[in-house]
Amino acid sequence: MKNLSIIVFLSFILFFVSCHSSIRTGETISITPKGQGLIEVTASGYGSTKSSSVENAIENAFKNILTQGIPNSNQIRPLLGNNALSVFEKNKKYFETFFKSESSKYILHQKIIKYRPLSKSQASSEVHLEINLDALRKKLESDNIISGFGI
Amino acid sequence: MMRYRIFYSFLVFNILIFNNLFSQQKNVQPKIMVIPFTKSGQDMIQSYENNHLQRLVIARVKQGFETRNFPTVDFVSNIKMMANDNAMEIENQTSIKQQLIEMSGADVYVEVETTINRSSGGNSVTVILSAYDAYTSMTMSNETGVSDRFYTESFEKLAVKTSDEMMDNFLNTMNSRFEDIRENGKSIYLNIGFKEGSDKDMDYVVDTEESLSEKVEAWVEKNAYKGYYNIQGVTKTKMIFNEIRIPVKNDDGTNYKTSHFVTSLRKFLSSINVDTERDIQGNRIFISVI
Repeated sequence: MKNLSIIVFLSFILFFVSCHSSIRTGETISITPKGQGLIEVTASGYGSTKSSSVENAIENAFKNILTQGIPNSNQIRPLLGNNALSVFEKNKKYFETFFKSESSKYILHQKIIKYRPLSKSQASSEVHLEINLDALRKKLESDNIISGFGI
Repeated sequence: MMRYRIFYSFLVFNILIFNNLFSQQKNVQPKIMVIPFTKSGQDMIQSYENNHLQRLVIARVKQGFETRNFPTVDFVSNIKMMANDNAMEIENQTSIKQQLIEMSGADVYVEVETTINRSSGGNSVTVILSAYDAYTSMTMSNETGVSDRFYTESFEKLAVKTSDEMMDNFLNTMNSRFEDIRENGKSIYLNIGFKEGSDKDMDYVVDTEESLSEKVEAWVEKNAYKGYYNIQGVTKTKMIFNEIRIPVKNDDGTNYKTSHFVTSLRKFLSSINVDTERDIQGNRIFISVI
């Protein structure tokens, strides 16, 4: 009987731990590979309010596309090229402005699929996004952040 | 006085801007040709004309390049031009492919392969895209896609969807190779040999300390971009560099061509009393010591 209550207690703890950690990692996952120039992902983020957690999720998605690439998607390589992290660091101010006022132009579809208030001052969200990769690439090319295709 | 100063500063600023604009020439871009994959001995034209699925994917791949503002060399017009030159009389199909690549002037060729898979669980299509450097045969990008299985005979839709899903990653891998070329220079192949009757060989002592092969290696080490080169082998009669990196641009922003490297090398050899003849085939250089 004592053993059974320990097992039940541990199961409860495991259940709560797994529920909490699943949405707070800021990860970006490809849903299905799309046609040329499009990417569909889910991204999670957190912040002090619902809207700031959504903004954070969107920023995470763009950051991952730009600097890491998304496995099992149309953009498995970083959009910023071979030296993505140094390009990102070099143009930090440009990307700060981009995340604040430009990134929404490249989102074709956006839907909040999960929202969870974690405490009074913390919330987390998971967002489904469809991003126009082609237009984003062209914008970065025209702003001389990346070079066009070719040598 | 102040007015003159402002005018003078404005003039200098404009001159600097214009100098910068004109010195930064546009990079010479590689030519890319998309061709059908053929098995050994298979007729390339027949394969292209009979396989509508392959034709469709070739068109789609060309379209993919165009979305990145990169036009491709047309395979059909080039092979027709070859046919007019009676080159199709060659029996060996591998030679036709080689000749087509050489004649078109393509620096990179992309092979497209499509296969239909039929099974009781539904039909699917496999698409394989492979890009190669035409001179070194090094792979530049490789992407494989298999469509989901459907109970359908409409393979065109499956092939188009699969190739569309593959294109971004295929082009991104290619572009990452181009980025490497921009940063670390382009690869060339150098073969130095001797003409029949030449009184010199690789052990020919140029001065009291060094042989010809040592002199050449020291020069290549000094002139290769970022000092990057690789020697495949040296014998008494031959010296082969399977890779020497040369810059894409000169210091003044103009394009650096393979012929510039050859001219410098020949000038150096001439300065140590070694006369040469040269043959340049794209990025492959053959130097013969007379």
